Amino acid sequence: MKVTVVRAGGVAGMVLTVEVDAGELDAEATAQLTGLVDACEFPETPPAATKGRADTFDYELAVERDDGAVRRTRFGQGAAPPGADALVAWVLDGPHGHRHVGRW
Amino acid sequence: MSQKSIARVGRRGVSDVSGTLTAVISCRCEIAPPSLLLRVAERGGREARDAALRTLLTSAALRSRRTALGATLRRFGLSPADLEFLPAQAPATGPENTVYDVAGGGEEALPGRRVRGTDDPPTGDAAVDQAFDGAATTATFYREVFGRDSVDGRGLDLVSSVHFGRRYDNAFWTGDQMVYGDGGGGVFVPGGLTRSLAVIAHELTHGVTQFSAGLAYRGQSGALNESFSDVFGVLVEHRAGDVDAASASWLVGEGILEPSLGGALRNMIAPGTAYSGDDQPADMDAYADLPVDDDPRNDNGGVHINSGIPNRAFAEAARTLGGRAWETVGPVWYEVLTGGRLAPTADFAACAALTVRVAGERYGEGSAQQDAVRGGWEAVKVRLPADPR
Repeated sequence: MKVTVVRAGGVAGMVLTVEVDAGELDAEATAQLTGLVDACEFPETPPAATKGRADTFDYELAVERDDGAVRRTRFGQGAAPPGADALVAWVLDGPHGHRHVGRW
Repeated sequence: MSQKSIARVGRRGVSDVSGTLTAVISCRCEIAPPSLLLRVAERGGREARDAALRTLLTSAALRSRRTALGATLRRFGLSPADLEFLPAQAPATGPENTVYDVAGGGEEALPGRRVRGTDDPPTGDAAVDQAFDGAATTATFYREVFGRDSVDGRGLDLVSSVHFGRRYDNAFWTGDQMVYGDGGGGVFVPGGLTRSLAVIAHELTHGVTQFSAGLAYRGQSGALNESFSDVFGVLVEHRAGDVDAASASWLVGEGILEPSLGGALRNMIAPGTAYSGDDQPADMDAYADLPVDDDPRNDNGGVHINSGIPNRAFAEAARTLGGRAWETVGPVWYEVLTGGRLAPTADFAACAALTVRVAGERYGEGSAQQDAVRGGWEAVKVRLPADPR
């Protein structure tokens, strides 16, 4: 399983992409990640309450299962679907992710 | 309650509203506690709701000069712009300047605990004191250079919240207040966001834009929105340090990024060179034609990307003239932003044409200042109306 968070916008306007590959994690971290993914909802049309507000963040959260199935959701700051904030924070702030700054 | 509804209440006034409960509310704010008014606003009939909300907002405005209104307004989906019917605050005293500590909380916790007010001494918390000083410097800039009374031109209180979120790498304007994270999340150095006067002035200028041209935050109008914030963010910094346009670095947010990323958020004179991964175009030949969609990579149609083009137009014009940019080209950009002639959906060409026109009005047709403004836009290859000379 791979979990990818794209965070863009903010005063910097940077695009930060952080990817976590569960295959590289120890058992404890894998369990944490799996629990967070299972608790996260991926609505097709999440609320976009903050879209268009200057310098807030916009997010894309994608989970690719080992069978190739992908679940994806996009949302603005303050409008995360249930469970997404915790998963995004774990990926962005934890020590396990591969980080990349740049649009592509 | 809709914006249309509040506008209607504003015109009509509370005293015209009938009904026993409404009459109780309307006779004077002080007898009904805010908690009761909120319950009425949420659960009462339409007229009672209107009266209760107007009473809440009016009494809060008079008591606390709108400082505490943010949460109430957000609760009803409103912004300070919806309070235009309220009397302006006294320009002579300037806006109240208040800083709150949100202590790691999120938007639901705003504004947080009040930690410093207008007349209070420094707290010793660097984020609190920098946010306070930066807001004061920015408000002084707008008042002394352009005669503008705070963000809305009517004395709106300056409200800042610091220590937002955990290692939150951002600062933003909510529509009624400033919010600063502590940084340290891999993009900004810890404490960097409040250390940069340009960042503080950039965000407060989003408020100025909100209350003036109202540039839509998408595509070219959104890039202009971002650019005006960069322009006045830098000008506030230039004035504070008495920096000459000819020798200025034209960097926005210098020295606050993690050093591995680069030296600044943006380079106005050389867009695309501020940090590793900076993809701002330097002219229209490299314009990023991105869709306005929900993909965060597309940046609402490139608002932070293509802003490099008008940024450079301003910097080129200011550098051509030299001296104090806030006294040369700055007033032209300010008149364009606030003078009522720039449409909310304006594109680069419309903004460019207006700056040339305003420069002619201010300094004379064919003046060195107008030529410098025209030259700035020509440098970035934005199409201008033909020069009549």
